[in-house]
Amino acid sequence: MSEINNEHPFFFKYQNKGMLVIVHRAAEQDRSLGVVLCHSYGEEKQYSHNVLTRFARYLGSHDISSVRFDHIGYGDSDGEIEDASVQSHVDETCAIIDLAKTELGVDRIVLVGLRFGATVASLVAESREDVAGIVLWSPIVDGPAFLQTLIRKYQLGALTSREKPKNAEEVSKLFAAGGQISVEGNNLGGNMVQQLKTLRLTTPRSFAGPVLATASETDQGGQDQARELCDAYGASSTMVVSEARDFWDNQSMYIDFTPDNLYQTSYSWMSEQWQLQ
Amino acid sequence: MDERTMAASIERYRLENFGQTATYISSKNGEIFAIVHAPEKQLPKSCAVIMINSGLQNRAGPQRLYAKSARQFASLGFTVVRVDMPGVGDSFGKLQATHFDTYDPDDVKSIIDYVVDVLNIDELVLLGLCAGARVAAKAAAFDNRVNALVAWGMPLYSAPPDMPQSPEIVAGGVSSAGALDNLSRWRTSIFKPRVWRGFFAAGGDFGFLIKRIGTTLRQVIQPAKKRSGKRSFISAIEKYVADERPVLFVYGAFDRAPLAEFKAHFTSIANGEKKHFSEVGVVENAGHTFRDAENRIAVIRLTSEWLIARFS
Repeated sequence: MSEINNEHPFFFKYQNKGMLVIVHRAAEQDRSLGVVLCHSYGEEKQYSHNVLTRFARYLGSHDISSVRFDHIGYGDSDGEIEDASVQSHVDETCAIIDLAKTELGVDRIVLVGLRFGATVASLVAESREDVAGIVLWSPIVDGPAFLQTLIRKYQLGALTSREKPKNAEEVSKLFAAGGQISVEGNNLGGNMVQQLKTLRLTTPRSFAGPVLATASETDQGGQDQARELCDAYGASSTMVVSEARDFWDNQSMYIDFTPDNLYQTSYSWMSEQWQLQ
Repeated sequence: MDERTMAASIERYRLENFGQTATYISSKNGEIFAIVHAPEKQLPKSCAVIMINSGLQNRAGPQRLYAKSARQFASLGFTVVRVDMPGVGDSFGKLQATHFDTYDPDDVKSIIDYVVDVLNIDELVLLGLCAGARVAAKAAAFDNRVNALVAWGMPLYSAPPDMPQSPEIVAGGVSSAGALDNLSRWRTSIFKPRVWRGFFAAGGDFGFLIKRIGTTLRQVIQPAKKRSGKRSFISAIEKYVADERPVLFVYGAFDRAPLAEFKAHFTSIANGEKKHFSEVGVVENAGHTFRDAENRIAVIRLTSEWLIARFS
């Protein structure tokens, strides 16, 4: 059987590559809008997969249909992550929005993004009229800082692999020469690096719809970033500290952590914004 | 993209599957999500590799190890079925625990039933990494439809101290062999500056370090004791090996405790004395999940060669 409990997985053709898409149709679907869920970057996507799946089911139980997908180079989709860039994530999300509107029979989409997925959601919303609102879970706001985090992960991983890690200057030269580094086993390539270097979401945003940004209690830096982002969006935005801990790392996966508070907070906010049933 | 083009695109590519289709398999603990890879050529007999997810990760595997392996195996003529066990990924059901024996071999049986009855497969391989390998062994031991077992990074006793311990391990959590191997490794590591750099880069938790050393010393004296019984992992893998059924064990060289325990428990296999049904591969510079690209390539190549030798 290829559909069960109103979930329908299939492969969608995107630029001659197959992209896994899973449509969650609510039994009593609210037709005013649908949701597209945007996953995070690299291995964070794998660690937090269960969280996004369960949120899609949570939304379904509250009569909201949604679409999840694996970006090209991730999960079951074709392609390689080292070919991905910030722009490719944006373009693919736009294609999925078009798909979701057709599949769900809605005119408006709310984007829910986690970490880098929240970054992508924020970027997409700047250029589309059909994005009704955005929910940004622990958004990455500062591209250069995120890039530094990835480089540190590479250096730590190199140590545990018994190889001498390159320092920041050597990494920079490597990127300039078209090379890659392995971050938690995923290759980080030049296109992504170049675009992260100039990515900052704290410049004034043009999206005027409702915005919810969240961070966890333990992530002070994430709280600061979420507040900065809300400042960039202005009066239409809300920032909430909604969960006790992060949930996109290896450890949270192994304790099967589900951010129930975050689900409730996000759904309540959406209900309030759009008077959902 | 306009609406008509979009609709056409969706319809056409629901039928065409890029060599992959997504489906659900009924099972007692919840519907199991599966990605089925069609073979790209014919083997003498149809053969499927069922890949059981590792840990609590979904069917793509750590660093997409499973997704990449499946594409390679499919190119060699194997049907590949990658699954999320109930409670994980896109499957339904609820996880009862998060230790490495949380999965029910009856769910593996359901997957085997689907592959044999619906996909009409003649020969069957079960493959798993870590927890996936353990439940694959439990299922394979009592199901003669399984023609071969591939066990990547299969822990016999050890689990990281910060993970829940399986009730199948009575005490200790690590065998003496594993504990002694850990101590031997740490004895040389404490003099290496890069190890301390890595320790401090990861947060420098001395409390955790002291606890880990203390636990390991206790494990030398009070090693893990197995709990036997038909459904226990150790009984299953011992039965499978005693029946001399085809098996490939692959470990990363840096997956020290599981590899040491495997060598201590299955010494004759590890020494290459049972090559008529078993093979052992060790990937140099690889850890538990064969994390980096060259290690993934190595484990996929090693496994592909073994599968081709057995089934083509």
